[in-house]
Amino acid sequence: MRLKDHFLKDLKLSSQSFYFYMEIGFAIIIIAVLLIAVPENFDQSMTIYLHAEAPLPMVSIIDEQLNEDTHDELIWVASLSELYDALEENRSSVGLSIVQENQQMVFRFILQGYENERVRNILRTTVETAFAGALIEETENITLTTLQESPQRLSDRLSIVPVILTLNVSFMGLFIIAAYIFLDKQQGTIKALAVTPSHIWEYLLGKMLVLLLTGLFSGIITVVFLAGFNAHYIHLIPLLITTSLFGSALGLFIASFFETMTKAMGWLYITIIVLLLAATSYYMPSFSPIWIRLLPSYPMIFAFREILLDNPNIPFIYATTVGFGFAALITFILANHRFKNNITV
Amino acid sequence: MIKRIIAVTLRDLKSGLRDFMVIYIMIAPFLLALILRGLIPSASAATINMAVLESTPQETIDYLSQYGNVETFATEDQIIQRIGRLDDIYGIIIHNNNYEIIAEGNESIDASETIAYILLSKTQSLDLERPFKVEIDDVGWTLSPLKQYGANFLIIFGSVFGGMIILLSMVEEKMSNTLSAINVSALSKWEFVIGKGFLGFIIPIIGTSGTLWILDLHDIHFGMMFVTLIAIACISVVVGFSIGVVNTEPIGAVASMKMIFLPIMASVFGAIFLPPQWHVVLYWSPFYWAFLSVDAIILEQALWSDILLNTSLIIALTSFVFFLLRNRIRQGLN
Repeated sequence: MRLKDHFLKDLKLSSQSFYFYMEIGFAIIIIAVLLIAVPENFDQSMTIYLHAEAPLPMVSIIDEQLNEDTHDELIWVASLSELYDALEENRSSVGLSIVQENQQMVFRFILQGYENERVRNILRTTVETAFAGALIEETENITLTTLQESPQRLSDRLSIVPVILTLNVSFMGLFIIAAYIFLDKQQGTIKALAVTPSHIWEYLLGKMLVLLLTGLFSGIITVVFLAGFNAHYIHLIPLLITTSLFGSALGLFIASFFETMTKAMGWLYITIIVLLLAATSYYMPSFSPIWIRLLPSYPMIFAFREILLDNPNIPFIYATTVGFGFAALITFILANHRFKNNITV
Repeated sequence: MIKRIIAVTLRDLKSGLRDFMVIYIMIAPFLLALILRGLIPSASAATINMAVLESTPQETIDYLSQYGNVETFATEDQIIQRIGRLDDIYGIIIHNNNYEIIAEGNESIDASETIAYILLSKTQSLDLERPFKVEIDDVGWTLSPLKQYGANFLIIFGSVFGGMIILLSMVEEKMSNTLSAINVSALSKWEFVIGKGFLGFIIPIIGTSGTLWILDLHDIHFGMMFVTLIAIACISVVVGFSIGVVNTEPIGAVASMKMIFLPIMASVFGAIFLPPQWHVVLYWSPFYWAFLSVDAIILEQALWSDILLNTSLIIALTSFVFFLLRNRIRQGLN
């Protein structure tokens, strides 16, 4: 009953504050930007500068073959020095020089220089093997097995949604709940708690529920506008609930170590930036060191991605949901324990 | 006048040092640059991840390690489990002399063909006399795109930290009602604005210098970078005041600060990923022009004419915002 009163009081105060409408406005702006300014898929083609000193029929065959095999932009240049100049001008391009030397065609790939040895080995071996394919006997001793029957890849635009849901919805409470607590402290209203029958946990949970409601609202409108009927809302809602509660509980726990918002702000920002690092492994799955995999934001982003797939991994979504439910509970208990001793100080 | 401005700045500095806010905000860009510096080598080295059985000959594991990371597992089931995890990794299992490549199917980039070529190269004798040769060369540019864009993002993001100092001190003044006391003092509004803005102006400059130093960007044109930094610091001051004057409590201030992330993210990621014909949608953002300048400086391709043009656009855009908000700022200071 007291929890309900706390929740309703905080909800009423929030709905009258600038912040509540700003969160909704922020979600609407993100939706508008993604729908209007972000293309469905990014152009990931690169520029390849080509130079050849070989018989014309050979050059024509190479040009034809390259145009067939690649979506990259191919630009022929007149000389090798022009090729080097072009690479220095455009640092995201590569070069290919084809020269005939002693009855041998030399394919010289000219990279920028930051590519490591493994990248060079891959390039050298794949090109050599592909060219040698015509010379060596066909092999049938390599087979490919794919575990998923109909794998699906999200569009580049839709791939942004899990990151937004993680950082702007689930971890939204991280800052805001701390600001709420410090505001109550500064205004002295928190001292009233000491003379009421209310428990600290009811007061804290009331605030968490307000943020949960705001998060659910902004999360659902984001998914509705960007994914439409393709998202699995039935799984999204429990995931949003537990991750949002965890974000708020984490914010409470961090805030419990500080006396003012300004003192807590630095640590809250550092926390959100560290959590943001999980997005690097989300966009670059071949880079996923153990310390990134241990960040709570890592499974969270991938679980939100599953929500948007036609055939989501249901056990993974619910394992994440339940895991964050437990994590929220433990973090909340710790935060409550700390606040019991210092909230009215 | 100078004395009064310095007094306002010193008071903010003292108050900021007391609750460690200034220290946190000053350390933040250095900390972020250190994180980026730590991230660059391993992220740049990421190519293909492969999972093989422990019984795989060491010579094969060594061969595959020339192309990517190799993890070993005791059983095929463990390899399947590993592939099913969230990152991209391919299984390679040897049955007699046959290779089986196992993919999950949802990899962000399909590398199965590349792995097939690597294995084919191992199984077939390619040492026969061939009519072609493949060589790899480079132009000696060692700055990776991750470092290039990461450093740029940190420099632009530095403007947020400066703005934050102004914003928080403004909210603090309002909450403790000291602003009204300032209104009856000998301090003019403009002296107060300059004094308050000084820390917000200087912090992005300190942060950027630290970022450049930590990331070993020593060969850039420092004159051009300084001019660009002045422009970025102007953005920081406008951001701090425009949010600081409209907010009377920290919740609104924090939420408003979050709004600033959107134009920063949109400008930086838009400039990187959008095709050039779409860049026109970012022309309104001073962060976009700052990104262009910093990018050209880091790439050592900047021309004074471009830097001055971008800087003029940043100052014109921020002045325009300041002009639009002048009445709001004046009211907010009352």
